[in-house]
Amino acid sequence: MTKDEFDRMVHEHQGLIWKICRSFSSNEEDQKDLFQEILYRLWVGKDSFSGDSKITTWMYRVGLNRAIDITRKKRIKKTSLNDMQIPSEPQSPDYDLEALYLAINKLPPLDRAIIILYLDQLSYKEIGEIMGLSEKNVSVKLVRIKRKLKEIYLRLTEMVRS
Amino acid sequence: MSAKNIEQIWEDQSGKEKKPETMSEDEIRETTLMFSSRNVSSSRRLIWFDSIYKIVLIGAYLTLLIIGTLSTAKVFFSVSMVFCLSYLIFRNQKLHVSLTGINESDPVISVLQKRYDAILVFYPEFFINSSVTHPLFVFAGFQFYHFFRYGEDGFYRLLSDPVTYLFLILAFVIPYVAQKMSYRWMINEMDSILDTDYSELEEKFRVTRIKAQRRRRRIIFMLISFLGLALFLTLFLIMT
Repeated sequence: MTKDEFDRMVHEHQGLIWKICRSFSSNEEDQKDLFQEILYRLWVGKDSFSGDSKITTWMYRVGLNRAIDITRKKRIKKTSLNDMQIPSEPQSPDYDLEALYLAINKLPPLDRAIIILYLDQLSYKEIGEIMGLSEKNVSVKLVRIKRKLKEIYLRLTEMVRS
Repeated sequence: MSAKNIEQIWEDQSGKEKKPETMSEDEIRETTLMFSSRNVSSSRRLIWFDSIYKIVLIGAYLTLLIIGTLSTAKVFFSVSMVFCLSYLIFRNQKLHVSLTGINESDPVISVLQKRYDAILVFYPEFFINSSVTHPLFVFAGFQFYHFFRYGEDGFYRLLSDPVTYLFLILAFVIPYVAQKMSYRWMINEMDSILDTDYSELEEKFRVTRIKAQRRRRRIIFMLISFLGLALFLTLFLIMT
């Protein structure tokens, strides 16, 4: 892959990387740092992309592996919901999305990875390929993760209302 | 709130991307241009520095052979140290491959397993490997000090002085304990990833933990045996 091809690919699929960044860090500075880190890893590993799978599958793998490793190194803070910076204005157009990202941020790293892939409408087979899990395992885990995410989201939004 | 709502919220975001969620092609081009001059990773640098440190020490022991008083015991001891350091450099190269050879385009679970392997199995070997070097540095340093202060390397005097052994033990224990603490930190970080229900990882991690424990014991036993035997034979040669 030439540099021009790489730049074009990143430009086209950067939304995917930003979604990972927002799901794995809650402040803008950290998100930018993580974006740079993922970009660097994609750049370093660009020749390892064989073309056997979709380019997005490769990008998700590299992005999620990097995000999980950075989260590990920063040590996951056990913040309670009360300590979280929750969106204060329910009328704001980004309110729902911000609350959803905050809720995703509260999930364990591997659960975050699976739910991002699910929300990005990847099939169970594709999620399994990216994560290294069987389709059946993905579907079982998704039931649990969705329930947990819903609970956190509801608690967050109820806290704002009350 | 239903799962469908969550999906809907997620889907809606594509239409309202804001900073920092978008980068122009020029910004991406500028960023990727910087990557070609980016430095190597810290773990790789750590192993390189440690190998250079060992090479310098090999040079020091060989220099001591040339400038100091020659005797069978001293030649035996210095050659043993050179062999020991060369072996540790060789192991460093193996560790370098293990610690840096993780392919991040592999599936997430498999990358996590490899990382756990690297941290649990190979990292302890590196910190034992690096801690062992410090007493060798201290002993070479003592000899150089004697040489420049008194005109001879004081090899025999140093080996018969209990204070030397105290310093050698401290030179090993202090960095070992410091690295062990940072290693515990790394293990806790890794365990925090597992703060969830992933049985396929838990089982593999358990096996890795047992493997790592056995390997650590083997390395410590091997190094202590080698250095102890070298020291014992040196003392034996001095006394005869």
